[in-house]
Amino acid sequence: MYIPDYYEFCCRVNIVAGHNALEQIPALLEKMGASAPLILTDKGVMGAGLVDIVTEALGKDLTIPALEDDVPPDSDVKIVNRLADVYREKRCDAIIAVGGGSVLDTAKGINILVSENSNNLMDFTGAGALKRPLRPLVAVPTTAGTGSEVTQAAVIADHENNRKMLFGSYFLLPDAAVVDPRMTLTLPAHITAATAMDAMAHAVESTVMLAKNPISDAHAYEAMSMISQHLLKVLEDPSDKEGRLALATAATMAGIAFSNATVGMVHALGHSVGSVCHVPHGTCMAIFLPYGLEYNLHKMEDRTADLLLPLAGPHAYITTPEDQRAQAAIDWLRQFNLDLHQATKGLHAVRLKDLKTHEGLPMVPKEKLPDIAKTALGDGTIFYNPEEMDYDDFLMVVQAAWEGEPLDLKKIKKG
Amino acid sequence: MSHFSFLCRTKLSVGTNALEHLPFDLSAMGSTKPLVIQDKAAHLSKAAKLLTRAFKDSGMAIGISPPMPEFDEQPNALSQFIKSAYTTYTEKGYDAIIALGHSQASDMAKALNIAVSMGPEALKGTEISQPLAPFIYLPVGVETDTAASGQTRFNNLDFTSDFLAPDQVLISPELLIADDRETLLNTSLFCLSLGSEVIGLSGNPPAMAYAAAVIRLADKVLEALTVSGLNPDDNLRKRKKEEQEWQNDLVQASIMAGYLRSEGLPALCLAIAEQLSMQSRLSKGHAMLLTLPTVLEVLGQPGHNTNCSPFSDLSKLLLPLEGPKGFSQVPENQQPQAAIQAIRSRINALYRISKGSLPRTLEEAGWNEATLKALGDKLMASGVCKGIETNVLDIVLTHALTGKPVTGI
Repeated sequence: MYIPDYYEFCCRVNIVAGHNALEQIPALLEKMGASAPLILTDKGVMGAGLVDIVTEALGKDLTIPALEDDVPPDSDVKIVNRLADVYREKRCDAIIAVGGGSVLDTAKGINILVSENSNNLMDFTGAGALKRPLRPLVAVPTTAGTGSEVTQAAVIADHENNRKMLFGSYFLLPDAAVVDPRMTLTLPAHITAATAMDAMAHAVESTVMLAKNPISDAHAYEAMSMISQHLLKVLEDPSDKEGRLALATAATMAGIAFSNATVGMVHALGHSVGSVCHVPHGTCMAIFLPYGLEYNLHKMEDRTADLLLPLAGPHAYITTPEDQRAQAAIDWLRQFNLDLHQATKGLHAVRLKDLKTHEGLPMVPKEKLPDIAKTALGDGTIFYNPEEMDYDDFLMVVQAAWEGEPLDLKKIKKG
Repeated sequence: MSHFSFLCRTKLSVGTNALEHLPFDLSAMGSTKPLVIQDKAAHLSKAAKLLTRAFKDSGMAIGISPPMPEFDEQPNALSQFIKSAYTTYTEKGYDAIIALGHSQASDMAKALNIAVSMGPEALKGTEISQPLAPFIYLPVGVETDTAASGQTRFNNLDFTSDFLAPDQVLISPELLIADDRETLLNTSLFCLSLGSEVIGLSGNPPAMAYAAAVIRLADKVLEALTVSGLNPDDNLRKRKKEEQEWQNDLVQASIMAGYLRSEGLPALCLAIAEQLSMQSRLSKGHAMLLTLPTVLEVLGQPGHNTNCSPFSDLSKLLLPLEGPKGFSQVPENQQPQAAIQAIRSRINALYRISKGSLPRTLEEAGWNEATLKALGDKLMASGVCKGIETNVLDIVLTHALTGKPVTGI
């Protein structure tokens, strides 16, 4: 077990998970002294009927003064200001955020304004600007992947001034994350696969990062084990409620792991491909994950070898010679991607060059690879990556991922 | 059980440089003027000095209270202490509490926090449903009580709330006062047993993750204590350094174990052991270990465990106990039994190494059927065995008496 000289671990979120977890929300609010929540969501979640499931589960005894679905995919400061006014006018005393990262970021922004009695989010940007607990916030994730229900950051765009405002504080952590498999039961197969691989990347990367610690590791290993055991089964039988619950729980635990141990080059490249070519984040995570382990292998061989047990199970672990376990873990991830490709009838891509737009055009044209490498260079997540990376290193990795070829380990500059 | 929940409001920071972060940690909570309350052990050590040094040049003014009295020093001594600390806190404008010391320091800080955040009348009994003032706990040794939990007891009243738990526990090796080996052994057994019950029976993945970390840290120390720790050939200097490392690992484990003492998580071993240790020479940790195999055997059976969830799986316990290699060598259907056997092996090893002074069964510890029956009746009447039926408790105690495995339930 690795114990660093110094580490921190914190997750102040009450994790409530299960087949009737949504029904626990009124009791959670009561415990926090709240009784009039604003329900916040986006039009996609609303249209999918998920908010109806939530409101039905809340029961008739709870008053809901406002239900707002005007959250754009990229959270916006104007919307935050408008919804904060709604919160005040309708005399709400809590927020239930039903959705993904954007809904939750918007909810966090509203919560800052109403708790601090302010109209200017700019006063609270950066790390540590918030100094006291905010009003009650309950997060209900609708995909099993991002882990944003347990992270202490928020990003809100100020489109008018062409800037993004970043917020970081323990006080931004939701008071509760309500994980209910009914929220993910209707996700299409390829989105189920991509979001689960997003969670897998959080878990795997967190265990090889410089800020890992015994508690983040324990969360990560459990998350990996649940995803590897349940994802293919869920794709085979999408109504598998136990499997959906396991994937959703794993995503939350992976979120806890990475928000404490950080992530590295897999996320740097994922953010970059997302930004340059608009590829969904989970898809990028699945493709780059084996490459991240491969690139850092010379520095993290023992830790990578330890991944074989939660990923491939005890039989594979014990029958693989000790000095081959790290490579076997990487090979297992590549094979898992191929299995997902098959299980989703080809919709889960395993190479960047196979990604297509709705019109059938390549999403990642080969000539964009230098731009991707350049953008990744400026991504903050690279700070905790075990091995350093420059432009040439990023380009080498992204070229290999485009072709779907393993890295040439001899070309890695070992710092 | 159709859902599970887990909350740990406490941030944990651990390491040689942890103290240097303290002013920043407090600042992030909005505090500029913390009041330190300390127990006598901390007062007599260099802990308070180190704490003062950590705030030098921070721009923060810290106040340090006189040491608190021991629990049984004199009637009302603790009430007087809280009254005095409350007056100091409010009159001098303090805005956060730091507790420095053993479990009692943390528990008294919780009582003080109720008073300063909700008014002194709240100490006569109230529901705590709002965040209190910032509160950081700095342990000076291992502990098996309620320091890191959301529980405290003051003036014979029990207080339980998520908001009572420390906002942060900061473990700095510099602050630790050497614990004796008996204390280290008891704590490692306490952590091992509490963690095992949570992994084996809770079906609560986030709690199980904490429990896995608790078991790995505690078992590492237990192994060191039983294998090399008792070796008389070790030179004193080497032993001192080793013991510091063991203590540091165990403090982490014991604080995390404290988180697991929350409502809804199984802790039957703890409930039984608290009674056993009060009425015999058994330490709490050892008493927990002696009841653990039968608790797992009985409550691991379908229908006997009210905490049962889709994630309940006794086989998961084998991994932290035996490591990846040991776990992987056992066929899946034999893993639950192997996990219980791994615990029995530890009980036997302790007996062997201690040359019989650490008993393997409650019978060897001086208990008999009649005294255990009386203890069982007391436990059921006290209400601490929530969700456990009388006949189930009887089976657990009967088998823990002789150490015989439970079969044919």
